[in-house]
Amino acid sequence: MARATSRQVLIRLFFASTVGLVLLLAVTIWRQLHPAWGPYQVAYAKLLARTTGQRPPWFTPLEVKQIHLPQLGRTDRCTTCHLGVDNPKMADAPQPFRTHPDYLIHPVEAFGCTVCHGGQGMAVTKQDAHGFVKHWERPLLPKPLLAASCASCHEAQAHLTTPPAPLTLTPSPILSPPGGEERGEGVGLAGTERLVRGKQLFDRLGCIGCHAVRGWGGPISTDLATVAYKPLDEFDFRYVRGPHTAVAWNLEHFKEPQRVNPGDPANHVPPTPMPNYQFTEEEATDLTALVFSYWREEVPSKYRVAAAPLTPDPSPSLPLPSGERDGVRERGRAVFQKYGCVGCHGIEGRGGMKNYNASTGGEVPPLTYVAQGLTNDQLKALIREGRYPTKADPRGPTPPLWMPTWKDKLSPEELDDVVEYLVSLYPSEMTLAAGGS
Amino acid sequence: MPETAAPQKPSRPSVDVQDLMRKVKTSQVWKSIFRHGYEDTPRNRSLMILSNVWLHLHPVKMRPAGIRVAFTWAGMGIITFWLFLVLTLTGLLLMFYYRPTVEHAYLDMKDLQFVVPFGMPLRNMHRWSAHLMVFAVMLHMASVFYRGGYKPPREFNWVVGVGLLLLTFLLSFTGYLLPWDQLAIWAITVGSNMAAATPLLGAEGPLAILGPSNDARFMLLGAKAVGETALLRFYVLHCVVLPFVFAILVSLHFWRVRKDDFSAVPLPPKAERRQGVRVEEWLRAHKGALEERIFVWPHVIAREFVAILLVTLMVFGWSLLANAPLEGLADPNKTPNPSKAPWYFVGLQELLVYFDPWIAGVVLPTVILLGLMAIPYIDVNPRGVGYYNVRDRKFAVTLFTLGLTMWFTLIAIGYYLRGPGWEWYWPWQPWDVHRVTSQRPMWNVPNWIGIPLVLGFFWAFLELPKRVWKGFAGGLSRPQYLITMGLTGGMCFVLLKIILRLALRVKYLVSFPGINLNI
Repeated sequence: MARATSRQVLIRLFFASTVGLVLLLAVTIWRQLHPAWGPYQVAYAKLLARTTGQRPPWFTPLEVKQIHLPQLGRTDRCTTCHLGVDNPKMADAPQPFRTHPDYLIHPVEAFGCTVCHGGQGMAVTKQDAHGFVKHWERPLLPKPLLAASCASCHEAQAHLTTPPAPLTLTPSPILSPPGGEERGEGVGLAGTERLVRGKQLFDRLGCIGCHAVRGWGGPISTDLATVAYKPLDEFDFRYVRGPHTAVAWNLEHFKEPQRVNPGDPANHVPPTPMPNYQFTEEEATDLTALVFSYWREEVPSKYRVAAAPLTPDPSPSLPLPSGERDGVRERGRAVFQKYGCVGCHGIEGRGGMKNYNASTGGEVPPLTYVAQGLTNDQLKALIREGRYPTKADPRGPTPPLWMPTWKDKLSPEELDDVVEYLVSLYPSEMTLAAGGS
Repeated sequence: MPETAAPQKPSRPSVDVQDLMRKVKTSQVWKSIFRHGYEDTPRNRSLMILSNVWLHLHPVKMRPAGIRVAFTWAGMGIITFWLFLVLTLTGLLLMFYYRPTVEHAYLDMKDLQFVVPFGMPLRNMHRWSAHLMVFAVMLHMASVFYRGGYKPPREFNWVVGVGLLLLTFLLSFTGYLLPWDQLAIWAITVGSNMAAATPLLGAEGPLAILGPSNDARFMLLGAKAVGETALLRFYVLHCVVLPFVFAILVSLHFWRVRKDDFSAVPLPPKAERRQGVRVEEWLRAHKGALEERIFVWPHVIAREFVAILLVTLMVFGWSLLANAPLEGLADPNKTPNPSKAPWYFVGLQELLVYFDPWIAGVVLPTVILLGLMAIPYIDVNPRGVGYYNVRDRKFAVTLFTLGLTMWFTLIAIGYYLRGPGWEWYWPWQPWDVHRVTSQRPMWNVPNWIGIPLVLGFFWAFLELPKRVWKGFAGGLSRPQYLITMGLTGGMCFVLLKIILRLALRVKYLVSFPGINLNI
């Protein structure tokens, strides 16, 4: 066959490219007319017709539905698919059409969805809208952790340790000014039981000793209030079995810290000294909810629920018992708990926290016998100044835990009280050798 | 008029189409709009060009050598201009939806992606056309160089072309910031920090006389960091100022292409070429070959049209398959590691490994641009105008190709082989943010070796060619010779430093840290 002339080549290229362009244009138009969310709106229209006993519509005009909330700095388009969110008749409908439980409390027109649930509100495709895409830091919060969002508006009430009041279906004060009923003193917030449990666990185990919260607490490890803000690309997901989300990382870290953070043996980096408390699934979820409750959405004051007046509480953990009726020992134990000494030295100072390559036997020293080894003044000096443990193996890694300096944190009275408490830990069956004060 | 028999009336009314068309085409209305017919006659072929506002920059006839695909590299210049038009149209449409403020820019990009009808294809067309235009303009420059289209009398048009190259880079750079995501803000931070390294006028360059509140970087950004002022002025530059300047220069560029006549010349037949007949001599002997012309309409216009259709098809198809990137919202407090400049600047960013910022980011780009502009004025070889000639232009072709290869190699290294900490990562090595940087320490050559080395290197390039190769400087005036060998030496010096750094871990040859002068 003779080689095509350039004229023939030109004509063939012309037709091929014209046909190609027309096809691509057709594809573009087809894609625009058939968005991914279209079938949901069609299905909902049919469902709505069925539940109201009408004839199903033969044509459903498609429309992006959005809730524009400039005060919250967002536009949520979740209702493009989640059409039955405020329709009480859809209580038994399949997702995504189901009614939102207690939808009157936080009406969707005033709050949108993402301020509580997370996700990327401005998207209209499922994966993007739920936020499980690259470069979106805050995907949908899993259902058990939803309580974590309450703190953004209900900051003062979310962590109260008293059991929450039963749920009342009064509409949110945002839409109507508060009537007589006020979420008052000492009453927790319905739905935040997980946070309350998490906080109790946090206090009991003395986590504050290593993990400060908003700058208050021990310097050993990360400030817990920053965890929810940590960018996804700074997480190490190599050993995480679940999805690569911040929530999954934290859950697995609570359950098995050394698996998620094994260090780097080749480079002499020890695994994390965070102890494995053998948490149950519920406990780990409670603590994860607590960690994520330190995230604050930026909401205007109109959305914030006023703080109920509380007894002055200088520390974010347990309040300090006051008064002479509490024994010195009780006060000392409260100080021991308040500053998180429990976190490293164990409950009642029994010790046991691993401290790799520390000359103190590879562990944080227990405090049960301090009365024997040190005078009260020596004890006070040690607590005030702090101490770095020496290495057991000089070529090994630096021990990750150390005794911080407490002189700028403990008041002199607290110092006296806690020293008395520590001295009192000595088992009474054993006689005290000379040297105690 | 002779009486005819009673005319036979038709049994039913019929429309004589040809008669109707003739009436329409001879009416005043028609003739005022369409001033000539469209039958394929030589006269009409001429009028199609001459009396058409869009096409009349073309000549009516041109030499056939200039329309071959291999000659113009598929009409790279025209493709570049067409992409500019596509960018203008898509850009105008995007301007209906985009607001250049910190509060709105990113959300408007999301709106374009999710809500605006045809928003994503529109945005993709704009982005991919932009990348393709930068690449096409580089190919066009290379094509013109290799066929000697810059030699007299076309020198200044080459200079205008280099100006257009710079404008293309600037247009792409200003547009890169507008999505206001992490990719945008940090790429522009890298680029604008190079301005801060300017000698004298940059706050962080050598011999700085200005501070961070009024140096070159501040002029560019309108602030000390990339923020709302930078976004607004980059938007104005991108949508108004730079396209306006581009339009002025491109008009001049097209005008000169016409005025200086197309350079393409017909080649001697293959048999004669094999015998070693040179083009210039053959043309002198065959004057008639130069006179041969073909009609631009339809031959050239058809080819331009098909080239445009194919490019549009390619860009449109690519826009439907691949989405333009959009990372997280711009966060001045969170620097991604690594932060890379746009691909056409990542070669300069890679040069930062081998030179201090004032050299890699200011001196070298300036020298490259000025050096490119100088090419027509230092190349006195009359051969190779209008056809591809390597044999008679060995020096020029070698150096240009070396420079082009270095440019694209640096881009490839910076784009594909650099990871966190700008450490070297082979494509199969996973990125490790915790990998210790500079695992193998670098060393400086002591000044008492380095200074003579650098001076000697340049002396060798300036003096040795004259002495070793007699006649090397023949035809070149002293300034021309100095510039040529200076640029050659400079390019080889960059290559030398790259090799010394990568192979021997040499950081500086000459270092005066007290005055921030390190080479």
